Amino acid sequence: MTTCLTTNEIAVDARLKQAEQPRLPGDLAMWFFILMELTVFAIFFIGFAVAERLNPQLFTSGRESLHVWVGLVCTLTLVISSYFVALAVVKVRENNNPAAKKLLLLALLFACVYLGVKLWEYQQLIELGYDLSTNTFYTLYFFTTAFHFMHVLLGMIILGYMAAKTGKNVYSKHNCQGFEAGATYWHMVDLVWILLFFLVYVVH
Amino acid sequence: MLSKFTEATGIHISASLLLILTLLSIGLSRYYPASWWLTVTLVLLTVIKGQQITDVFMELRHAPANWRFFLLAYAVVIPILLAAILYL
Repeated sequence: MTTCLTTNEIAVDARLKQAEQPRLPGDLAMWFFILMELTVFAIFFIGFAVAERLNPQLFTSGRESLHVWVGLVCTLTLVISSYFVALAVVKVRENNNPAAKKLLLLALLFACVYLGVKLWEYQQLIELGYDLSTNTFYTLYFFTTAFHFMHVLLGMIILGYMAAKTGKNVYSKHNCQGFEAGATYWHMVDLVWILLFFLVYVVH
Repeated sequence: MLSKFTEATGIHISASLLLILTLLSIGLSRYYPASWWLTVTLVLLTVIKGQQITDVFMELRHAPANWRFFLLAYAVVIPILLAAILYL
């Protein structure tokens, strides 16, 4: 028995097959960059854990000087910021650039809160006399969190650039690869912070 | 229309879960004394948060299996490795 399909049915079938195909969002180069960044952060995390294993008392007393609520606020702001960026990707795919721009600006606002809170914590620690040279805990703490802080700054520049381009209606359902790549970078920053939060503020 | 609805809904649920798990992990960490079950719970919460970010926010749920596996492995292996270094 043969089945005759109309042109419309063939087109619908092709679209469904395309939708089912596994697809890596964004740009392949960005994914390799993200893998490289994650590897560097993994080395820092392992270094931090090994140093703590070798000198647990130093790290326990070091952690007591940190503000737990700073870690909590930083995590919440980065998660909320990532949430707005993920929604912005959905809006771009719906060809709704104005909504995507508003969501990106909200994401940037929460990222600014993260920066403010983190800078306040650095200022408090420095005023108490703690800096990179105090001991191994503070060396690793400042180095790892400041390295992440710089990634947040870079991510904010990328989000700002994306917001400017959405304002000009550059992105659309069929032209959102660059937007997805920028969003993926921001989520990587969030993923790294989740692990950093666990290592610096949660474990004891 | 249904797929767009579920895509956004998935993001809402994931974000809510991430916020709840963050509050839960800090609460457990502050108000319970250190023990093996607390460590396992905190690692598990971190792994779930990592999985949500990679699968939902980074959209790797629909990505080629190797890429998804690699990123998920990172989110799972690193917290377990860190806990192993610190506690074993």
